[in-house]
Amino acid sequence: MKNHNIHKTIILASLLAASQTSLAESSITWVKAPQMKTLPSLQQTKAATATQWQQQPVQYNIDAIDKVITAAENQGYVAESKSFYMDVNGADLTKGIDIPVASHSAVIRISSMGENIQIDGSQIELSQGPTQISKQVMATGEELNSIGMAVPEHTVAMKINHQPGALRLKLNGLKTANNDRFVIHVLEPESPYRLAMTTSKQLYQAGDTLTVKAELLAADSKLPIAMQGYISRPNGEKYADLKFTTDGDGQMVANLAQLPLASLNDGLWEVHTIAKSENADQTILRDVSSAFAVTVPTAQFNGQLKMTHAEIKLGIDNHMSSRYEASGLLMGHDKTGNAQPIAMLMTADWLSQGEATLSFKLPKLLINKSGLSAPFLVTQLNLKNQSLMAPVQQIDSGFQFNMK
Amino acid sequence: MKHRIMLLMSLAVLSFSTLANTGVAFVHGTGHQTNAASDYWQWNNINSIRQGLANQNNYVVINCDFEQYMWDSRASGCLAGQLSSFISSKNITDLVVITHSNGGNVIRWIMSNPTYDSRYPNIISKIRWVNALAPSSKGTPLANAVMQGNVFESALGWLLGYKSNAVRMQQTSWMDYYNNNYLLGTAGRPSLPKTFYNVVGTDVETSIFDGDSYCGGYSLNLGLEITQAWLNSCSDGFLECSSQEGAGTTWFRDTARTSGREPLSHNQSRRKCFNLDVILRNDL
Repeated sequence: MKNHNIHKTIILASLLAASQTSLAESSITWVKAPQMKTLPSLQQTKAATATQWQQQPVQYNIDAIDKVITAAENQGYVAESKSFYMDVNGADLTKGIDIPVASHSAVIRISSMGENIQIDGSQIELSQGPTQISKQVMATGEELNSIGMAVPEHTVAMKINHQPGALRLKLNGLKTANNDRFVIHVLEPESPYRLAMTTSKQLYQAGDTLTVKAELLAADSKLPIAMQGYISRPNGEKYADLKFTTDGDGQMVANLAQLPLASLNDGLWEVHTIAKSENADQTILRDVSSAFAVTVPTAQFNGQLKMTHAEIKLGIDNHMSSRYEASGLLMGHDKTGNAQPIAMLMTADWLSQGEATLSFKLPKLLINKSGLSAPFLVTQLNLKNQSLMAPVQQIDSGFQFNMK
Repeated sequence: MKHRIMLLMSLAVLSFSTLANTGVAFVHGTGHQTNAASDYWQWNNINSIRQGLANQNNYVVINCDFEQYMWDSRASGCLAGQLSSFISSKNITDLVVITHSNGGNVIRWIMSNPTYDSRYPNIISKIRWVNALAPSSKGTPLANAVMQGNVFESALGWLLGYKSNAVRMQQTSWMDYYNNNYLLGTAGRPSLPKTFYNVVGTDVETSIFDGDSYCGGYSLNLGLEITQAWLNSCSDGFLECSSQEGAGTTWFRDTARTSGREPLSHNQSRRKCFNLDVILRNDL
């Protein structure tokens, strides 16, 4: 049930609490002093142009009292797939291609990459040996796009029932040149076979080694597979191939050392993998992709830390003129000595190259409202380059301070 | 003393309610809209919902380029500009934001990253809450399906089927990263500064013999029989319930409040279907 008055009451309660408080500053220290590193060259990394609103400083605190906030575990996303893709040309499609299917039903999407190559459902012929396979449901690219599935314009998708094995797909009367490209996308939603793939982390530090693990899972077992894969940069360009080996436990593993720097304004890094398994005279194909990020260390906390009556000032060693944000979780101690959240502190400003400062505004109203006591901690300290959409530095232990 | 404070608070709440100038903003989903009132929301829906306002002129229909990433100046920057102008020109002090689909991610970007743009704090301060209709908070397997695969046969494989950065961003692994690192309101993360209420579509009806299937346009629902193959049993044909409920607070699942306990497909949740307009109107 929504309470239409609660937000107004909270504002007023905070104002009333403020009138009864008077806090003064005291000591402030790092829990563990930041380690200064030599920052890498940034010649190929450029910040996005800032709007006038991104040139101005902003301090903001979000109430976190009584909230359950957990530290980020930085685990890689586990991507799973029961589908695969084939890239074919017009000549092959006119002659007919074999699609290996491993279950009794599938959704098949055919998308033309050419601008003027229309595909009509009546042109599609599907068979298994002498048996013609009928299409249960069909949809056009326009129909799929209308509900948000952003397929290419010239697309036909269909649901079919069949036997596991080879499925013959042929397009009759296709007006196409031999080098026209088509994507065949096959989803087997009822198949027991799924490819699971994950990276060892979701956010890597620049220079880290990426580890990718993948396995083809059946209902209660893993199947041996041959795997290929590659890494693409945030702008979509291929960066490097992955070489998979087995780890002896049925998993395929690939490592890639020295992840480089790239602006994340273009998006995220991606891992693309494809697996093939020959199981009891059955060919199983699966593709899956996943995303990760790599920090761009254009700056770092330089260890300077100062508290005034109203602010906490953090020194920054900055190697690239950009807009930076520092954030951290302010915590205080309850009567049993446990640290509890008070507020998420956020501050950002446009910083020129060189020595700089970012300042948190002390949320005295929220500290009073929380009823929590010193020592206060600011944990999960994060420095981000907002102009590059990139994480820069994380110091989980943060700093602590007392107030008289 | 305590009684005096309570009395003061009650009077202040009363005067705030009396003085509040409430407005509503309609924020569309993925797409580059230039006339979202007609093309996305439809006027009969907007006109019904704004009847809940004391001043029915206090509404704005956002038109931005949500083919871009949520942080792009053409997406959240545009949204911030249009909301700021609306707040300023109408002197709005109490703003209800109604979003659909990816529009939920764009407003969540603003509420999660108040320091990114100096216009954001003022917008957040005016927001009463967000009513997020079928938000794609955890992405959708359908974005994975059109973006992934086909990578070894073609050097530019990833480009095939590539539509927009917004689709790329709504892949499930991407949204997982942004939820963990840039967006607030998911489990274990700090809460958003204002409440993000989800309205969740749980099922689709596409029978040609069922009149309810025609609400919002039958042709818009034809592809749902195909797209549901990528989704689990609780979905609106484009998003799984787990994505729609992935951030903020669930206000209600469709059948709990809609007339005839009808489910809302992904297209129906932005249309005047099954009394949803009245529910949103009464919420103002």
